[in-house]
Amino acid sequence: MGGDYYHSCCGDPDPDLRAPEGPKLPYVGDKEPLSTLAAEFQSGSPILQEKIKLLGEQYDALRRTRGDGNCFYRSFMFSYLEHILETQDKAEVERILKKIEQCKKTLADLGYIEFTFEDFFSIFIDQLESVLRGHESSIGAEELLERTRDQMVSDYGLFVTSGEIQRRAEFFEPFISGLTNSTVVQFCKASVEPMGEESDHVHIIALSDALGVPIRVMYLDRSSCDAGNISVNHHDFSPEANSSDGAAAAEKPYITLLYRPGHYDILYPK
Amino acid sequence: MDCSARRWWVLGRKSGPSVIGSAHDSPTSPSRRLPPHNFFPTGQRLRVFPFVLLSGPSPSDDATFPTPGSSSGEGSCELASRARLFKEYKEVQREKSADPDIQLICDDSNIFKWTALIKGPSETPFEGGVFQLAFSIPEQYPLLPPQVRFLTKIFHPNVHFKTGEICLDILKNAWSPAWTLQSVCRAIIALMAHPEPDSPLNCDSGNLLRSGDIRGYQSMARMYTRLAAMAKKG
Repeated sequence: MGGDYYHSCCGDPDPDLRAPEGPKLPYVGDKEPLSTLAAEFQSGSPILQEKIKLLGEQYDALRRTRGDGNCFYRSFMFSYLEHILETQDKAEVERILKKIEQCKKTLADLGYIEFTFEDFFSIFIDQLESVLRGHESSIGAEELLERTRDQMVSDYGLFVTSGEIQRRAEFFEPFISGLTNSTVVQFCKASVEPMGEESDHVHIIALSDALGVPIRVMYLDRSSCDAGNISVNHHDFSPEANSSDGAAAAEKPYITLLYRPGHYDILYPK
Repeated sequence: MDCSARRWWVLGRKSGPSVIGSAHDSPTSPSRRLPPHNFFPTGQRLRVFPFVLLSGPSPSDDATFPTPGSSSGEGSCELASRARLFKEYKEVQREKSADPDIQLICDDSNIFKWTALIKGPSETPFEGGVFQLAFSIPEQYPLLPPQVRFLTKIFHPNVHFKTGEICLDILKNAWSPAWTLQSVCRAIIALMAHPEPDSPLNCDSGNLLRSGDIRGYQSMARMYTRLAAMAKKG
């Protein structure tokens, strides 16, 4: 059962845009120049080639993640930890630790048994502390990569997401009934909490809101506007503005993910 | 076998047993939640999760729990799942009487092997029977689901008649670490009460239900419950 890697983990696969095959990639790959993406689509659709060229104007590198369905959470978590490692932003760490406490409380209030989620959170908190310098156990970029290759690091994301969706069920209900014909709780049990379940808009909004971290997603798909006028669509997910700390909402996203139908990877701006 | 049918909805039904620790689903036991961190009798909380450590205290160091006989493959994953199972073990000990329909027993020498005795739900052909389940837990637990099968013979569309294999989405693609061995048992009890004949592992049983022969299904299921799941008379 463990070998169930999906070619496409998020959304409908586009045969031309197939996500990298699971088993061959580590959970989080090495940083690579964007030109490798261009090479990949050399014989692909001209729209895609054009879009990759446009991406190249703003972004210069890409980090691939394994296409096993948890790619969104994994990309997000790695990108976030890397951001903290680079900026050493202690205030941000303080802020997110508070958010995490809130998330745990949300889950406990919803009736989740603590031992089912606490380990996942502990791992993330340990990671967070270890990327801050000045701790006896500080780590560098290389080791962060090594550790994030351990699977459980990113998986607390699905608990955060599920908790947030259920906490604000009224807000999410219209989105969910548009996607599936199920209730909020059913949606969380069937489409958020299972391992390797695809991530959609709803998941991204919930995670971004719950942790107060803005996320930008660049869409690499075949859609195009009017003839000849190709641009790469993107969407910024900003944490809800009326949340307790509005400061984060105004920020420009420092996490950018590349979405190809079926998969998320990490993008690095120039 | 087509096991892909989503069956989570049966779990939310009023008549079914409660599933997961969700407050919505367990009207009968609103206080199932745990007081925080009293699993470790020594008072030491497993703050640093063992697989971040290279050489940390294994949860099986605890005197009350036997050390597993074979320690093959000391992967970080295995340490993590051991720690998790240890917590479940403590919880099962603590809440022994919380769910009288389920009795979970851990193997004396191997925390990755469990058996469960579950009571057949009332108003079903399984009522009055006690069914034994065998759990085999992968080293990647709780990232991967436990493997569960019936050891007691049962006539049910979603249980293989010979092997006892169970066709239940949460044991396959809909698995989530939010489930526990206990809540898996509750889900299996719910499945017994609400068979899903459209994705059968036991086609004979499924066909009876699909053709609307409820009486035939119930009498067969009842017969096997009597034969296999009830104490022999005299």
